[in-house]
Amino acid sequence: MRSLLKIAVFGIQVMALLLVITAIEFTVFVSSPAARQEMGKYILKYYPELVDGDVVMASQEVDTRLPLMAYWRFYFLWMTNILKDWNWGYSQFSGEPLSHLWGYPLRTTLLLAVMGLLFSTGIALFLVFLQRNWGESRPVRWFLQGTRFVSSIHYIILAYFVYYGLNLKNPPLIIPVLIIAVGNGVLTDTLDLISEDLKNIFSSRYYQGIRARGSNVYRHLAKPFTISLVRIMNAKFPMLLGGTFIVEYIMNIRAMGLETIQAVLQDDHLKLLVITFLVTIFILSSNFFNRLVQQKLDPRPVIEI
Amino acid sequence: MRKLRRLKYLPIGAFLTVYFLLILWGWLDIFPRQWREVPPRTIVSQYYPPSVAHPLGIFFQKDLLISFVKSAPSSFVAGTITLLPFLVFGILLGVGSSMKQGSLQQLCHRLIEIMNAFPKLVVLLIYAALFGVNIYSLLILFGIISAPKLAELIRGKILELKREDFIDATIALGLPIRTIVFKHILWYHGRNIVASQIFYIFAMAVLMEASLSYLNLGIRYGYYSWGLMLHYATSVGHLSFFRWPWHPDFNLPAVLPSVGLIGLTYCLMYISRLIQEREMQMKGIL
Repeated sequence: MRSLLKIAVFGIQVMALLLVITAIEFTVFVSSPAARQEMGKYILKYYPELVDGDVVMASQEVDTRLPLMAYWRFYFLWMTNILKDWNWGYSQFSGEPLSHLWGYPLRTTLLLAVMGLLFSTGIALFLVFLQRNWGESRPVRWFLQGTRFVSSIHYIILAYFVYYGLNLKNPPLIIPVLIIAVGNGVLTDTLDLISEDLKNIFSSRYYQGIRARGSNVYRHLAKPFTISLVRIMNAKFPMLLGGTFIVEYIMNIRAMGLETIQAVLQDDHLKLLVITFLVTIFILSSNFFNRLVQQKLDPRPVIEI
Repeated sequence: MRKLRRLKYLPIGAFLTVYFLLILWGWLDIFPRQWREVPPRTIVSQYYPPSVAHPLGIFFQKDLLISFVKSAPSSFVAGTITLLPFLVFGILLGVGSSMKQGSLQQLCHRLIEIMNAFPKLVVLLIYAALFGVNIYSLLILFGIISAPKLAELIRGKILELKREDFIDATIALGLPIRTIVFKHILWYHGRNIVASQIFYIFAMAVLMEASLSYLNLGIRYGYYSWGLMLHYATSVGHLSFFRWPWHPDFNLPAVLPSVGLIGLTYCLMYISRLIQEREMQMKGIL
């Protein structure tokens, strides 16, 4: 019973947090004159009942900016529609329902970002292993230098060379995943962060104690290492998500990145709002997962300095 | 042996010298008249291979070499514009978040967390869509939202040095807090961190400018950028990377800006890493 209550309280807290964040984002959107204009058109087209009669009577062809209350009424109605009927509204450009963003585009973007993160961490771990064991060997050093050079290349150029250079019109998903995992310094950053954390762990008294007692090092280091690995992955997630957006655009993969850039170029503000909400949900979920793992592995209370 | 070690930095130095010469050339805008004279556009091709009159060819009614040279100042301006807000916000947030427990410290801490949480490119895209601004405003915003990285490093440095004896000595001497923080901590002990971050953010700003101009966001008519050159290169189908550089079908319009971007960002990141290593050597870690 107590655990059920805890789950219910947690669910309410998450919903309240999402509502507050989305309300702040909506305020930012409404503060833009261009967004007010475009969303005004949308409200007048789909929900004219939200606007007072005298405002509708004024010529709305040129200036469709409505009173602020009309936008807030629209926001609450929109949220109700989402929660009740899963109706996210319609694209202002093409008129298609925006709930389709939850299907293939969202799945593909999440797959690319998460797989990119896992690949990046996996490759970085392999490189750390190479560095620690054969760091003095010349071929290994050259290999690491080469990897650093490739990793310093930006997503645009890597994706561009793979897509246009190799003329891959329908590339298998592993190629964008590899580009996202390696490019833009993601691999180098992850490698450096893991090496630094490992150095800290190996120089700690805890590790020295384990060595002195002759205990199993791998078993005892698994926990602190997993904590630092999850922290690094959580810190890299937003960067990889941004990278996924641009790689999708260049490689013409129909996912959130392509949808976002099309929405920007077509002034489709409602679609942008939905995409912003989805990105917020991604980030919140990633942070929540990070905290959950940290609390499970290290339940000691955290004192903020 | 020592001479050989010095030669290691030769390619970096040479590349940066060429880059600064290109900036100067682009700003002075001095080109032979025959380079500026281009034949009228034909339907057959947007790209004319190199000739005597145009050493790197013609691309979209412009001499390719002129476009390449004039794009160098854009990348430099992008880096410089991003630096100022990055430094100001980074240092202020870093100092603010390392203060004693209080509302200012909490505010700075939360700001850093929020700014770190969102993908920078997505924030810039949404800002461009909402406020329809030019590329320089977007770069200023990029500088602001990149500031948490510097802020975290500065916070770490201040917290690390807070417990040192010399800080107690400066407090006992009655020095004001701002002198202790900005002079004794940031200038005497933290300038390597700031210098390394300056090179890093410069590289990131160059790439961000290229990304935004590749996406055609915030640019005006007559703007030159390596990202824009790359964008236009997508529309010429018959060019290929797998040809000899002197072949007429070699994709020079894409290779040229790519070499510029890769070389410049690699050099800047290398310098940033060198400074970081020096800092670690001073600490005795390396």
